[in-house]
Amino acid sequence: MKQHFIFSALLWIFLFTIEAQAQVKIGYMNPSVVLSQLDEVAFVDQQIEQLVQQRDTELMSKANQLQQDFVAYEEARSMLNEEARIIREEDLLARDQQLQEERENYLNEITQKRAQLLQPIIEKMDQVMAEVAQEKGLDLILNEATSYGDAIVFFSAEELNITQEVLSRMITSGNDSEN
Amino acid sequence: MRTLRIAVILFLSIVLNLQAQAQSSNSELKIGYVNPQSILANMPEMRAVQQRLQNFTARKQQELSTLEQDFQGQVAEYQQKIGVISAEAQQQEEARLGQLQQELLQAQEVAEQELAQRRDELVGPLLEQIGSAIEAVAQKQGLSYVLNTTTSSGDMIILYASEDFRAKFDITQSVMEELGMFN
Repeated sequence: MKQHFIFSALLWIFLFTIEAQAQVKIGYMNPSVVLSQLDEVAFVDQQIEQLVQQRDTELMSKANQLQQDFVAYEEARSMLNEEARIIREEDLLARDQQLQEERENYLNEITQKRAQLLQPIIEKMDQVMAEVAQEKGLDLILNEATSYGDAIVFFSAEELNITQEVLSRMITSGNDSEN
Repeated sequence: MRTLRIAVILFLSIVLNLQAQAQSSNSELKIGYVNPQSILANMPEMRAVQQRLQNFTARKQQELSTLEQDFQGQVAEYQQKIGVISAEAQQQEEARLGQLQQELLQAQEVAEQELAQRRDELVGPLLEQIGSAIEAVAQKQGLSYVLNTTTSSGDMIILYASEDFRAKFDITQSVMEELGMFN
């Protein structure tokens, strides 16, 4: 009878535990906050800044040259015959068009380069996030906000926010790989 | 003594049952999630939609290109006669060309708006189908919520889902099945 009593009690506790485990556990974090505080990301931004300056200088020099050639053409125009004018104008227009295309490509190039340099850091962050989630038994991790700053999670218990935990592990792993 | 044991067991049963019920009403909050953009991209109808949008874009680009060439032609014409017309005529001509340039910019904006509108018209019914399929799957699986994984600007809403949770509650595949995409 005593055994039966203990068995019943244990069975109930067991069932109760299963029921409690069935609850979804949701955490949240802000990847932008993590990225903004990492030295690796600051280094990526420095590289991008250098690339921007380099491309700016190149484009500026081409634009100045085009401007000078245009002024020279304006001055010489009255002395040119019709055919020579057309050739010079077409050349100037084509170079102007090319400069515009280079400006557009340059913006794409910068965006792509930044994404490419950030990719390994983001992969590492995803890995750390999964580790933290497994340790804390989280089923889901929501993003706290969009990249435009719109809130996705307005309110939640602070213990469910894993941003600082992920950040400190990223910093530690960054320091470890440097040593 | 025996009565006491039975009483204890009954008491324990009642208390734990009540707690289990309370837990169970919480655990009934079943949350699923779905990536509608990936469903949309895989829908067979999307190929025709993309083709129609490409045709529409090409037609608009052609129209805009004609307008631009016309404008460039008029600018070149003006530059050629600039030395032989009066200052007043120059002013008038520049105002007219300025106006023409403004109209060209407006035409570009209108074309972009028309493209967005056309996209809404073509994609809207597909999104409605996806919405209905999500609802049907949610009801079948007894979900209280279905979250979107990603915003339209590409920001992730769900950053992580455990393997177990993903297996049970990522309903993206089930929604595709509901839409008959694997038939």
